[in-house]
Amino acid sequence: MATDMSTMRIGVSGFWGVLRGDLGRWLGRRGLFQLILWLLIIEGFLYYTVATENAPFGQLGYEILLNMLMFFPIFAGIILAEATIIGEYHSGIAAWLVSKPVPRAGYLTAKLGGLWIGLSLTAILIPGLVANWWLPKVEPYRFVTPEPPPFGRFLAALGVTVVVLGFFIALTGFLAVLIRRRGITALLAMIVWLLLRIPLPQIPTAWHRYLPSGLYGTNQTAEGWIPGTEYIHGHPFGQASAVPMTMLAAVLLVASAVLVYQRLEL
Amino acid sequence: MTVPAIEIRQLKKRYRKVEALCGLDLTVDQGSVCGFLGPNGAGKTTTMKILMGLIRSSSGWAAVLGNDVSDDDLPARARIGYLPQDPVFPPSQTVRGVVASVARLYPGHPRGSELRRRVDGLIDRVGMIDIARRRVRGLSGGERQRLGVAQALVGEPDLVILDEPSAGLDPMGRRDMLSLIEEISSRATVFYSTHILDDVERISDTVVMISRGRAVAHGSLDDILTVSEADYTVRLRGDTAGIHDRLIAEPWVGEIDIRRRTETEDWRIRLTDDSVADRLAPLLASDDDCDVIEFHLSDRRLEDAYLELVGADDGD
Repeated sequence: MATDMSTMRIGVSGFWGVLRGDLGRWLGRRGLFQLILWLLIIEGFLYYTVATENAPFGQLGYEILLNMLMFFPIFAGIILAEATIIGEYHSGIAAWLVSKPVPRAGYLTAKLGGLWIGLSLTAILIPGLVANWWLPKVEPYRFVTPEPPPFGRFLAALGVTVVVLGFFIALTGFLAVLIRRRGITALLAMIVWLLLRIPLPQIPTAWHRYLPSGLYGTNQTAEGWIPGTEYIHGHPFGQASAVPMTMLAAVLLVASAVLVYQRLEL
Repeated sequence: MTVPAIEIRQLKKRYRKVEALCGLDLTVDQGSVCGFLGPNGAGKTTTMKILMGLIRSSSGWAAVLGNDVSDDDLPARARIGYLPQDPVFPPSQTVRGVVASVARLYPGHPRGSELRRRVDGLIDRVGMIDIARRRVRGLSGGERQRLGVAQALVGEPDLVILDEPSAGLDPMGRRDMLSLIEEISSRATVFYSTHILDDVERISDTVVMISRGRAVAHGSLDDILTVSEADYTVRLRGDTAGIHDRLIAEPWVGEIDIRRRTETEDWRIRLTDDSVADRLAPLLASDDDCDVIEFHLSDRRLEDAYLELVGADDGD
Protein backbone atom coordinates (compact mmCIF):
# COMPACT_ATOMS: atom_id res chain seq x y z
CA MET A 1 0.00 0.00 0.00
CA ALA A 2 2.80 2.35 1.00
CA THR A 3 4.63 1.39 -2.19
CA ASP A 4 1.52 2.15 -4.24
CA MET A 5 1.23 5.57 -2.62
CA SER A 6 4.89 6.24 -3.22
CA THR A 7 4.59 5.16 -6.87
CA MET A 8 1.55 7.39 -7.32
CA ARG A 9 3.28 10.33 -5.68
CA ILE A 10 6.30 9.92 -7.94
CA GLY A 11 4.08 9.43 -11.01
CA VAL A 12 2.05 12.56 -10.26
CA SER A 13 5.24 14.51 -9.65
CA GLY A 14 6.63 13.36 -13.01
CA PHE A 15 3.38 14.22 -14.79
CA TRP A 16 3.27 17.72 -13.29
CA GLY A 17 6.92 18.23 -14.07
CA VAL A 18 6.40 17.50 -17.78
CA LEU A 19 3.11 19.45 -17.93
CA ARG A 20 4.65 22.40 -16.15
CA GLY A 21 7.59 22.38 -18.53
CA ASP A 22 5.29 22.40 -21.54
CA LEU A 23 2.94 25.02 -20.15
CA GLY A 24 5.96 27.12 -19.24
CA ARG A 25 6.87 27.30 -22.89
CA TRP A 26 3.33 28.43 -23.78
CA LEU A 27 3.51 31.11 -21.13
CA GLY A 28 6.94 32.27 -22.20
CA ARG A 29 8.27 33.81 -25.38
CA ARG A 30 6.92 31.03 -27.56
CA GLY A 31 3.47 31.53 -26.10
CA LEU A 32 3.61 35.26 -26.72
CA PHE A 33 4.67 34.66 -30.30
CA GLN A 34 1.84 32.17 -30.77
CA LEU A 35 -0.66 34.58 -29.25
CA ILE A 36 0.40 37.43 -31.51
CA LEU A 37 0.26 35.12 -34.51
CA TRP A 38 -3.22 33.89 -33.64
CA LEU A 39 -4.49 37.37 -32.93
CA LEU A 40 -3.20 38.48 -36.31
CA ILE A 41 -4.79 35.51 -38.08
CA ILE A 42 -8.16 35.52 -36.33
CA GLU A 43 -8.69 39.24 -35.81
CA GLY A 44 -7.09 40.16 -39.12
CA PHE A 45 -9.17 37.75 -41.15
CA LEU A 46 -12.30 38.66 -39.21
CA TYR A 47 -11.70 42.37 -39.64
CA TYR A 48 -11.20 41.94 -43.36
CA THR A 49 -14.29 39.79 -43.86
CA VAL A 50 -16.78 41.66 -41.70
CA ALA A 51 -15.56 45.11 -40.72
CA THR A 52 -13.99 46.71 -43.77
CA GLU A 53 -15.93 48.91 -46.13
CA ASN A 54 -16.49 46.24 -48.76
CA ALA A 55 -16.51 43.33 -46.35
CA PRO A 56 -17.67 40.22 -48.20
CA PHE A 57 -19.59 38.84 -45.18
CA GLY A 58 -20.53 42.09 -43.51
CA GLN A 59 -23.38 40.80 -41.39
CA LEU A 60 -21.89 37.48 -40.34
CA GLY A 61 -19.33 38.55 -37.73
CA TYR A 62 -19.93 35.90 -35.06
CA GLU A 63 -20.64 33.18 -37.59
CA ILE A 64 -17.31 33.79 -39.32
CA LEU A 65 -15.52 33.98 -35.98
CA LEU A 66 -16.85 30.67 -34.64
CA ASN A 67 -16.23 28.90 -37.93
CA MET A 68 -12.67 30.17 -38.04
CA LEU A 69 -12.07 29.01 -34.49
CA MET A 70 -13.33 25.56 -35.48
CA PHE A 71 -10.96 25.53 -38.43
CA PHE A 72 -7.50 27.07 -37.93
CA PRO A 73 -6.81 26.04 -34.29
CA ILE A 74 -7.98 22.48 -34.98
CA PHE A 75 -5.57 22.17 -37.89
CA ALA A 76 -2.79 23.69 -35.78
CA GLY A 77 -3.65 21.22 -33.00
CA ILE A 78 -3.31 18.31 -35.41
CA ILE A 79 0.03 19.53 -36.77
CA LEU A 80 1.48 20.35 -33.35
CA ALA A 81 0.29 17.12 -31.71
CA GLU A 82 1.89 15.15 -34.51
CA ALA A 83 5.11 17.16 -34.26
CA THR A 84 5.28 16.80 -30.49
CA ILE A 85 4.61 13.08 -30.15
CA ILE A 86 6.38 11.81 -33.25
CA GLY A 87 9.14 14.44 -33.15
CA GLU A 88 10.06 13.64 -29.54
CA TYR A 89 9.79 9.91 -30.21
CA HIS A 90 12.29 10.05 -33.07
CA SER A 91 14.61 12.67 -31.54
CA GLY A 92 15.05 10.72 -28.30
CA ILE A 93 13.51 13.40 -26.07
CA ALA A 94 10.64 11.05 -25.19
CA ALA A 95 13.10 8.31 -24.17
CA TRP A 96 15.08 10.82 -22.15
CA LEU A 97 11.99 11.99 -20.25
CA VAL A 98 10.58 8.54 -19.51
CA SER A 99 13.98 7.42 -18.25
CA LYS A 100 13.26 9.82 -15.37
CA PRO A 101 10.61 9.00 -12.78
CA VAL A 102 7.90 9.90 -15.28
CA PRO A 103 5.33 7.22 -16.16
CA ARG A 104 4.73 6.84 -19.87
CA ALA A 105 1.04 7.58 -19.31
CA GLY A 106 2.05 10.75 -17.50
CA TYR A 107 4.40 11.80 -20.28
CA LEU A 108 1.80 11.32 -23.01
CA THR A 109 -1.11 12.94 -21.19
CA ALA A 110 1.08 15.85 -20.09
CA LYS A 111 2.28 16.44 -23.65
CA LEU A 112 -1.21 16.28 -25.17
CA GLY A 113 -2.76 18.14 -22.24
CA GLY A 114 -0.15 20.89 -22.35
CA LEU A 115 -0.74 21.39 -26.05
CA TRP A 116 -4.50 21.43 -25.55
CA ILE A 117 -4.36 24.01 -22.76
CA GLY A 118 -1.78 26.17 -24.56
CA LEU A 119 -3.57 26.17 -27.89
CA SER A 120 -7.00 26.64 -26.30
CA LEU A 121 -5.77 29.78 -24.58
CA THR A 122 -3.73 31.34 -27.36
CA ALA A 123 -5.72 30.28 -30.42
CA ILE A 124 -9.32 30.05 -29.20
CA LEU A 125 -10.16 31.73 -25.90
CA ILE A 126 -8.08 34.90 -26.04
CA PRO A 127 -8.68 35.65 -29.77
CA GLY A 128 -12.37 34.79 -29.26
CA LEU A 129 -12.73 37.13 -26.31
CA VAL A 130 -10.82 39.89 -28.10
CA ALA A 131 -13.14 39.54 -31.10
CA ASN A 132 -16.16 39.57 -28.81
CA TRP A 133 -14.88 42.85 -27.41
CA TRP A 134 -14.48 44.69 -30.72
CA LEU A 135 -17.16 43.11 -32.92
CA PRO A 136 -20.09 44.92 -31.20
CA LYS A 137 -18.19 48.18 -31.62
CA VAL A 138 -18.18 47.94 -35.41
CA GLU A 139 -19.96 50.96 -36.82
CA PRO A 140 -22.62 50.78 -38.02
CA TYR A 141 -23.69 47.63 -36.19
CA ARG A 142 -24.72 45.32 -39.01
CA PHE A 143 -24.84 41.76 -37.72
CA VAL A 144 -27.55 39.09 -38.01
CA THR A 145 -29.05 39.76 -34.61
CA PRO A 146 -29.96 43.21 -33.36
CA GLU A 147 -27.81 42.79 -30.30
CA PRO A 148 -24.52 41.04 -29.60
CA PRO A 149 -24.96 37.51 -28.20
CA PRO A 150 -25.12 37.05 -24.45
CA PHE A 151 -21.63 36.63 -23.04
CA GLY A 152 -22.46 33.33 -21.32
CA ARG A 153 -23.66 31.75 -24.56
CA PHE A 154 -20.66 33.08 -26.44
CA LEU A 155 -18.34 31.63 -23.81
CA ALA A 156 -20.16 28.28 -24.01
CA ALA A 157 -19.66 28.28 -27.79
CA LEU A 158 -15.93 28.87 -27.25
CA GLY A 159 -15.98 26.01 -24.73
CA VAL A 160 -17.46 23.69 -27.36
CA THR A 161 -14.64 24.69 -29.71
CA VAL A 162 -12.12 23.83 -26.99
CA VAL A 163 -13.77 20.39 -26.62
CA VAL A 164 -13.49 19.77 -30.36
CA LEU A 165 -9.82 20.84 -30.27
CA GLY A 166 -9.25 18.38 -27.44
CA PHE A 167 -10.85 15.60 -29.47
CA PHE A 168 -8.60 16.21 -32.47
CA ILE A 169 -5.46 16.51 -30.35
CA ALA A 170 -6.39 13.19 -28.71
CA LEU A 171 -7.12 11.60 -32.10
CA THR A 172 -3.81 12.81 -33.51
CA GLY A 173 -1.99 11.63 -30.39
CA PHE A 174 -3.50 8.19 -30.79
CA LEU A 175 -2.65 8.02 -34.49
CA ALA A 176 0.85 9.34 -33.76
CA VAL A 177 1.75 6.58 -31.29
CA LEU A 178 0.20 4.02 -33.60
CA ILE A 179 1.80 5.12 -36.89
CA ARG A 180 4.84 7.11 -35.73
CA ARG A 181 5.31 8.70 -39.13
CA ARG A 182 4.91 12.38 -39.72
CA GLY A 183 2.72 13.52 -42.56
CA ILE A 184 0.58 10.42 -42.78
CA THR A 185 -0.60 10.89 -39.18
CA ALA A 186 -1.69 14.48 -39.74
CA LEU A 187 -3.23 13.55 -43.06
CA LEU A 188 -5.38 10.85 -41.47
CA ALA A 189 -6.51 13.19 -38.68
CA MET A 190 -7.41 15.86 -41.25
CA ILE A 191 -9.37 13.32 -43.29
CA VAL A 192 -11.37 12.47 -40.15
CA TRP A 193 -11.93 16.19 -39.58
CA LEU A 194 -13.14 16.60 -43.15
CA LEU A 195 -15.38 13.52 -43.11
CA LEU A 196 -17.11 14.75 -40.00
CA ARG A 197 -17.32 18.31 -41.29
CA ILE A 198 -19.01 17.47 -44.57
CA PRO A 199 -22.32 15.67 -44.22
CA LEU A 200 -21.94 12.09 -45.31
CA PRO A 201 -25.18 10.49 -46.48
CA GLN A 202 -24.01 7.20 -44.99
CA ILE A 203 -24.14 8.62 -41.47
CA PRO A 204 -27.75 8.98 -40.24
CA THR A 205 -28.50 12.54 -39.16
CA ALA A 206 -29.46 11.50 -35.65
CA TRP A 207 -26.00 10.06 -35.07
CA HIS A 208 -24.45 13.47 -35.27
CA ARG A 209 -25.99 14.23 -31.88
CA TYR A 210 -23.41 11.85 -30.43
CA LEU A 211 -20.46 12.54 -32.71
CA PRO A 212 -17.96 15.41 -32.80
CA SER A 213 -19.60 16.32 -36.11
CA GLY A 214 -22.62 17.38 -34.05
CA LEU A 215 -20.47 20.22 -32.75
CA TYR A 216 -18.98 21.48 -35.99
CA GLY A 217 -20.58 19.69 -38.96
CA THR A 218 -21.95 22.00 -41.61
CA ASN A 219 -25.13 19.98 -41.93
CA GLN A 220 -26.19 20.80 -38.41
CA THR A 221 -27.90 24.12 -39.13
CA ALA A 222 -30.22 25.26 -41.86
CA GLU A 223 -27.73 27.91 -43.01
CA GLY A 224 -24.81 25.52 -43.14
CA TRP A 225 -23.04 27.05 -40.15
CA ILE A 226 -21.79 25.24 -37.13
CA PRO A 227 -24.35 24.67 -34.34
CA GLY A 228 -22.69 27.14 -31.98
CA THR A 229 -23.70 30.05 -34.21
CA GLU A 230 -27.39 29.30 -33.71
CA TYR A 231 -26.84 28.80 -30.03
CA ILE A 232 -25.26 32.19 -29.44
CA HIS A 233 -28.27 33.78 -31.09
CA GLY A 234 -30.66 32.26 -28.58
CA HIS A 235 -31.57 28.92 -30.16
CA PRO A 236 -31.39 25.76 -28.09
CA PHE A 237 -28.29 23.65 -28.52
CA GLY A 238 -29.78 20.53 -30.04
CA GLN A 239 -26.51 18.65 -30.19
CA ALA A 240 -25.68 19.02 -26.50
CA SER A 241 -25.23 15.24 -26.17
CA ALA A 242 -22.32 15.48 -28.57
CA VAL A 243 -20.31 17.45 -25.98
CA PRO A 244 -19.96 14.69 -23.36
CA MET A 245 -19.70 12.07 -26.10
CA THR A 246 -16.85 13.97 -27.77
CA MET A 247 -15.12 14.40 -24.43
CA LEU A 248 -15.56 10.68 -23.74
CA ALA A 249 -14.19 9.85 -27.18
CA ALA A 250 -11.16 12.05 -26.49
CA VAL A 251 -10.54 10.35 -23.15
CA LEU A 252 -10.84 6.91 -24.75
CA LEU A 253 -8.44 7.91 -27.52
CA VAL A 254 -5.85 9.13 -25.00
CA ALA A 255 -6.32 5.95 -22.94
CA SER A 256 -5.80 3.84 -26.06
CA ALA A 257 -2.74 5.90 -26.99
CA VAL A 258 -1.34 5.28 -23.51
CA LEU A 259 -1.89 1.54 -23.88
CA VAL A 260 0.00 1.52 -27.16
CA TYR A 261 2.73 3.79 -25.76
CA GLN A 262 3.34 1.49 -22.79
CA ARG A 263 4.51 -1.20 -25.22
CA LEU A 264 6.53 1.10 -27.45
CA GLU A 265 10.30 0.67 -27.67
CA LEU A 266 12.00 3.98 -27.07
CA MET B 1 23.14 -8.66 2.49
CA THR B 2 23.24 -5.75 0.07
CA VAL B 3 21.39 -6.29 -3.17
CA PRO B 4 23.49 -5.77 -6.28
CA ALA B 5 23.08 -2.43 -8.03
CA ILE B 6 22.49 -4.31 -11.28
CA GLU B 7 21.76 -7.97 -11.78
CA ILE B 8 21.17 -9.53 -15.19
CA ARG B 9 20.47 -13.18 -15.87
CA GLN B 10 20.26 -14.81 -19.29
CA LEU B 11 19.04 -11.61 -20.88
CA LYS B 12 18.07 -11.88 -24.52
CA LYS B 13 16.91 -9.29 -26.99
CA ARG B 14 16.03 -9.95 -30.57
CA TYR B 15 15.30 -7.25 -33.18
CA ARG B 16 13.63 -9.13 -35.99
CA LYS B 17 16.49 -11.20 -37.42
CA VAL B 18 19.25 -9.68 -35.30
CA GLU B 19 20.02 -11.08 -31.87
CA ALA B 20 21.38 -8.08 -29.95
CA LEU B 21 21.71 -9.91 -26.63
CA CYS B 22 21.99 -13.66 -26.36
CA GLY B 23 21.99 -14.74 -22.75
CA LEU B 24 23.84 -11.90 -21.03
CA ASP B 25 24.75 -12.43 -17.37
CA LEU B 26 26.29 -9.79 -15.18
CA THR B 27 26.26 -8.39 -11.68
CA VAL B 28 27.35 -4.93 -10.60
CA ASP B 29 27.87 -4.51 -6.87
CA GLN B 30 26.77 -1.37 -5.10
CA GLY B 31 29.53 1.17 -4.67
CA SER B 32 31.55 -0.03 -7.63
CA VAL B 33 32.59 1.70 -10.82
CA CYS B 34 31.90 -0.81 -13.54
CA GLY B 35 33.14 -0.31 -17.07
CA PHE B 36 30.98 -1.99 -19.67
CA LEU B 37 33.33 -2.69 -22.53
CA GLY B 38 32.61 -3.95 -25.97
CA PRO B 39 32.94 -3.19 -29.66
CA ASN B 40 30.26 -1.28 -31.55
CA GLY B 41 27.10 -3.35 -31.89
CA ALA B 42 28.03 -5.66 -29.02
CA GLY B 43 24.80 -4.87 -27.16
CA LYS B 44 25.91 -2.24 -24.64
CA THR B 45 23.24 0.35 -25.43
CA THR B 46 20.55 -2.32 -25.72
CA THR B 47 21.44 -3.57 -22.24
CA MET B 48 21.30 -0.07 -20.79
CA LYS B 49 17.98 0.70 -22.46
CA ILE B 50 16.51 -2.49 -21.00
CA LEU B 51 17.79 -1.48 -17.56
CA MET B 52 16.09 1.89 -17.96
CA GLY B 53 12.82 0.31 -19.08
CA LEU B 54 13.01 1.96 -22.51
CA ILE B 55 12.90 -1.34 -24.36
CA ARG B 56 11.79 -4.80 -23.29
CA SER B 57 13.90 -7.90 -23.28
CA SER B 58 12.81 -10.90 -25.35
CA SER B 59 13.57 -13.18 -22.40
CA GLY B 60 15.67 -13.34 -19.28
CA TRP B 61 15.64 -11.17 -16.24
CA ALA B 62 17.18 -7.88 -15.14
CA ALA B 63 16.95 -6.00 -11.87
CA VAL B 64 18.17 -2.58 -10.87
CA LEU B 65 18.65 -1.84 -7.17
CA GLY B 66 16.71 -5.00 -6.44
CA ASN B 67 13.71 -4.13 -8.62
CA ASP B 68 12.76 -6.14 -11.69
CA VAL B 69 12.99 -3.72 -14.63
CA SER B 70 9.93 -5.24 -16.29
CA ASP B 71 7.83 -3.91 -13.37
CA ASP B 72 8.56 -0.35 -14.55
CA ASP B 73 9.07 0.61 -10.93
CA LEU B 74 8.99 4.39 -10.53
CA PRO B 75 10.52 4.56 -7.02
CA ALA B 76 13.49 2.57 -8.35
CA ARG B 77 13.81 4.81 -11.39
CA ALA B 78 13.87 7.85 -9.12
CA ARG B 79 17.12 6.42 -7.70
CA ILE B 80 18.83 6.10 -11.10
CA GLY B 81 20.55 8.79 -13.11
CA TYR B 82 20.88 8.04 -16.82
CA LEU B 83 22.91 9.59 -19.59
CA PRO B 84 21.77 8.25 -22.97
CA GLN B 85 24.12 7.82 -25.88
CA ASP B 86 24.02 11.04 -27.98
CA PRO B 87 21.87 12.92 -25.44
CA VAL B 88 19.16 15.15 -26.92
CA PHE B 89 17.52 17.99 -25.03
CA PRO B 90 14.90 20.55 -26.07
CA PRO B 91 16.99 22.88 -28.26
CA SER B 92 15.34 26.08 -27.09
CA GLN B 93 15.95 25.39 -23.41
CA THR B 94 18.95 26.83 -21.61
CA VAL B 95 21.51 24.73 -19.76
CA ARG B 96 20.02 25.87 -16.45
CA GLY B 97 16.49 25.29 -17.78
CA VAL B 98 17.22 21.67 -18.74
CA VAL B 99 18.69 20.79 -15.35
CA ALA B 100 15.93 22.63 -13.46
CA SER B 101 13.16 21.00 -15.51
CA VAL B 102 14.62 17.55 -14.80
CA ALA B 103 14.91 18.40 -11.10
CA ARG B 104 11.21 19.22 -11.04
CA LEU B 105 10.35 15.71 -12.24
CA TYR B 106 11.44 14.26 -8.90
CA PRO B 107 9.05 14.13 -5.95
CA GLY B 108 9.90 16.43 -3.09
CA HIS B 109 12.26 18.46 -5.23
CA PRO B 110 13.57 21.69 -3.76
CA ARG B 111 11.91 24.91 -4.80
CA GLY B 112 12.85 28.53 -5.29
CA SER B 113 16.31 29.52 -4.21
CA GLU B 114 17.16 26.03 -2.96
CA LEU B 115 16.37 24.55 -6.36
CA ARG B 116 18.44 27.23 -8.01
CA ARG B 117 21.32 26.51 -5.66
CA ARG B 118 21.24 22.78 -6.38
CA VAL B 119 20.94 23.30 -10.14
CA ASP B 120 23.76 25.85 -10.24
CA GLY B 121 25.90 23.64 -8.03
CA LEU B 122 25.56 20.78 -10.49
CA ILE B 123 26.17 22.99 -13.50
CA ASP B 124 29.28 24.26 -11.76
CA ARG B 125 30.45 20.69 -11.06
CA VAL B 126 30.32 19.87 -14.75
CA GLY B 127 32.10 23.12 -15.57
CA MET B 128 29.26 24.88 -17.35
CA ILE B 129 28.35 27.67 -14.94
CA ASP B 130 29.71 30.29 -17.35
CA ILE B 131 27.33 29.12 -20.04
CA ALA B 132 24.34 28.32 -17.80
CA ARG B 133 22.15 30.68 -19.83
CA ARG B 134 23.18 29.34 -23.20
CA ARG B 135 20.55 27.48 -25.18
CA VAL B 136 21.01 23.79 -25.96
CA ARG B 137 21.12 24.49 -29.70
CA GLY B 138 24.29 26.53 -29.16
CA LEU B 139 26.20 23.84 -27.27
CA SER B 140 29.06 21.79 -28.66
CA GLY B 141 29.00 17.99 -28.51
CA GLY B 142 31.20 17.96 -25.43
CA GLU B 143 29.12 20.57 -23.64
CA ARG B 144 25.99 18.59 -24.42
CA GLN B 145 27.63 15.52 -22.95
CA ARG B 146 28.50 17.39 -19.76
CA LEU B 147 24.96 18.73 -19.55
CA GLY B 148 23.84 15.13 -19.89
CA VAL B 149 25.86 14.20 -16.83
CA ALA B 150 24.50 17.16 -14.85
CA GLN B 151 20.89 16.21 -15.58
CA ALA B 152 21.66 12.58 -14.70
CA LEU B 153 22.88 13.64 -11.26
CA VAL B 154 20.14 16.10 -10.39
CA GLY B 155 17.96 13.52 -8.63
CA GLU B 156 20.89 12.58 -6.35
CA PRO B 157 20.85 8.99 -7.63
CA ASP B 158 22.24 5.85 -5.98
CA LEU B 159 23.09 4.39 -9.37
CA VAL B 160 24.35 6.29 -12.41
CA ILE B 161 24.14 4.64 -15.82
CA LEU B 162 26.20 6.42 -18.46
CA ASP B 163 26.12 5.32 -22.07
CA GLU B 164 29.42 6.29 -23.72
CA PRO B 165 30.01 9.36 -21.52
CA SER B 166 33.33 10.27 -23.13
CA ALA B 167 32.36 9.60 -26.73
CA GLY B 168 33.12 12.52 -28.99
CA LEU B 169 35.04 14.47 -26.36
CA ASP B 170 38.41 16.03 -26.99
CA PRO B 171 41.31 14.91 -24.72
CA MET B 172 40.68 17.65 -22.16
CA GLY B 173 36.97 17.02 -22.18
CA ARG B 174 37.63 13.32 -21.71
CA ARG B 175 39.96 13.96 -18.81
CA ASP B 176 37.34 16.18 -17.13
CA MET B 177 34.65 13.59 -17.72
CA LEU B 178 36.74 10.87 -16.10
CA SER B 179 37.44 13.10 -13.11
CA LEU B 180 33.72 13.73 -12.84
CA ILE B 181 32.94 10.01 -12.91
CA GLU B 182 35.55 9.43 -10.22
CA GLU B 183 33.89 12.12 -8.14
CA ILE B 184 30.42 10.62 -8.70
CA SER B 185 31.69 7.22 -7.63
CA SER B 186 32.27 8.48 -4.10
CA ARG B 187 28.52 8.73 -3.67
CA ALA B 188 26.92 6.37 -6.19
CA THR B 189 27.45 3.17 -8.11
CA VAL B 190 28.57 3.95 -11.64
CA PHE B 191 27.88 1.66 -14.58
CA TYR B 192 29.17 3.12 -17.80
CA SER B 193 29.76 1.84 -21.29
CA THR B 194 32.72 2.68 -23.43
CA HIS B 195 35.12 1.26 -25.92
CA ILE B 196 37.99 3.44 -24.72
CA LEU B 197 40.16 1.00 -22.80
CA ASP B 198 42.36 3.63 -21.15
CA ASP B 199 39.29 5.14 -19.49
CA VAL B 200 38.36 1.82 -17.97
CA GLU B 201 41.87 1.18 -16.68
CA ARG B 202 41.94 4.59 -15.09
CA ILE B 203 38.67 4.73 -13.20
CA SER B 204 36.99 1.31 -13.02
CA ASP B 205 37.28 -1.27 -10.32
CA THR B 206 35.21 -3.86 -12.16
CA VAL B 207 34.85 -4.63 -15.82
CA VAL B 208 32.32 -6.45 -17.94
CA MET B 209 33.41 -7.23 -21.48
CA ILE B 210 30.64 -7.94 -23.88
CA SER B 211 30.85 -9.30 -27.37
CA ARG B 212 28.05 -10.37 -29.65
CA GLY B 213 25.46 -9.96 -26.93
CA ARG B 214 27.08 -11.98 -24.16
CA ALA B 215 29.66 -11.34 -21.47
CA VAL B 216 33.07 -12.71 -22.36
CA ALA B 217 34.77 -11.50 -19.18
CA HIS B 218 33.45 -10.23 -15.91
CA GLY B 219 35.26 -9.38 -12.74
CA SER B 220 37.53 -6.98 -10.97
CA LEU B 221 40.05 -5.12 -13.08
CA ASP B 222 42.87 -6.83 -11.17
CA ASP B 223 41.47 -10.27 -11.98
CA ILE B 224 41.19 -9.46 -15.64
CA LEU B 225 44.67 -7.99 -15.83
CA THR B 226 46.29 -10.84 -13.94
CA VAL B 227 47.71 -13.35 -16.34
CA SER B 228 48.24 -17.00 -15.61
CA GLU B 229 51.42 -18.40 -14.14
CA ALA B 230 52.25 -19.69 -17.60
CA ASP B 231 53.21 -16.43 -19.33
CA TYR B 232 56.69 -15.00 -18.81
CA THR B 233 58.69 -12.09 -20.15
CA VAL B 234 62.46 -12.61 -20.40
CA ARG B 235 65.23 -10.25 -21.54
CA LEU B 236 68.39 -11.98 -22.80
CA ARG B 237 71.80 -10.79 -23.95
CA GLY B 238 74.31 -12.82 -25.96
CA ASP B 239 73.89 -15.79 -28.29
CA THR B 240 70.35 -17.02 -27.78
CA ALA B 241 70.20 -19.65 -30.53
CA GLY B 242 71.13 -22.51 -28.27
CA ILE B 243 68.70 -21.76 -25.51
CA HIS B 244 65.95 -21.19 -28.07
CA ASP B 245 66.46 -24.65 -29.53
CA ARG B 246 66.48 -26.24 -26.10
CA LEU B 247 63.33 -24.43 -25.05
CA ILE B 248 61.24 -25.34 -28.08
CA ALA B 249 62.29 -28.95 -27.66
CA GLU B 250 60.54 -29.03 -24.27
CA PRO B 251 56.93 -30.27 -24.52
CA TRP B 252 55.74 -27.82 -21.82
CA VAL B 253 56.83 -24.74 -23.76
CA GLY B 254 53.99 -23.48 -25.92
CA GLU B 255 55.17 -20.55 -28.00
CA ILE B 256 57.90 -17.95 -27.88
CA ASP B 257 57.42 -14.42 -29.26
CA ILE B 258 60.75 -12.74 -29.89
CA ARG B 259 61.38 -9.01 -30.17
CA ARG B 260 64.96 -8.12 -31.05
CA ARG B 261 66.58 -4.97 -29.68
CA THR B 262 70.07 -3.56 -30.36
CA GLU B 263 71.94 -5.67 -27.86
CA THR B 264 69.20 -7.70 -26.23
CA GLU B 265 66.19 -9.76 -27.06
CA ASP B 266 62.79 -9.71 -25.32
CA TRP B 267 61.09 -13.05 -25.28
CA ARG B 268 57.55 -13.76 -24.26
CA ILE B 269 57.33 -17.39 -23.37
CA ARG B 270 53.98 -19.13 -22.93
CA LEU B 271 53.98 -22.46 -21.18
CA THR B 272 51.41 -25.13 -21.86
CA ASP B 273 51.14 -25.93 -18.17
CA ASP B 274 51.70 -23.48 -15.33
CA SER B 275 52.52 -26.29 -12.91
CA VAL B 276 55.93 -26.65 -14.56
CA ALA B 277 56.73 -22.94 -14.43
CA ASP B 278 59.48 -23.52 -11.88
CA ARG B 279 61.49 -25.41 -14.51
CA LEU B 280 61.79 -22.39 -16.80
CA ALA B 281 64.20 -20.21 -14.80
CA PRO B 282 66.81 -22.95 -14.20
CA LEU B 283 66.69 -23.91 -17.85
CA LEU B 284 67.32 -20.35 -18.98
CA ALA B 285 70.13 -19.90 -16.47
CA SER B 286 71.83 -23.08 -17.59
CA ASP B 287 72.94 -21.60 -20.91
CA ASP B 288 76.41 -20.05 -20.68
CA ASP B 289 76.21 -18.30 -24.07
CA CYS B 290 73.62 -15.77 -22.94
CA ASP B 291 72.75 -13.81 -19.81
CA VAL B 292 69.27 -13.45 -18.37
CA ILE B 293 68.84 -9.74 -17.63
CA GLU B 294 65.14 -9.78 -16.74
CA PHE B 295 62.74 -12.56 -15.84
CA HIS B 296 59.16 -12.00 -14.65
CA LEU B 297 55.52 -12.87 -15.21
CA SER B 298 54.20 -10.97 -18.22
CA ASP B 299 52.29 -7.78 -17.58
CA ARG B 300 49.02 -7.57 -19.33
CA ARG B 301 47.26 -4.40 -20.25
CA LEU B 302 43.53 -4.19 -20.63
CA GLU B 303 44.02 -3.88 -24.33
CA ASP B 304 45.68 -7.30 -24.42
CA ALA B 305 42.86 -8.84 -22.43
CA TYR B 306 40.29 -7.13 -24.58
CA LEU B 307 41.84 -8.21 -27.85
CA GLU B 308 42.31 -11.70 -26.53
CA LEU B 309 38.77 -12.11 -25.21
CA VAL B 310 36.76 -10.08 -27.69
CA GLY B 311 39.04 -10.94 -30.59
CA ALA B 312 38.73 -14.65 -29.83
CA ASP B 313 34.97 -14.29 -29.69
CA ASP B 314 34.89 -12.48 -33.03
CA GLY B 315 36.94 -15.23 -34.56
CA ASP B 316 34.39 -17.90 -33.62
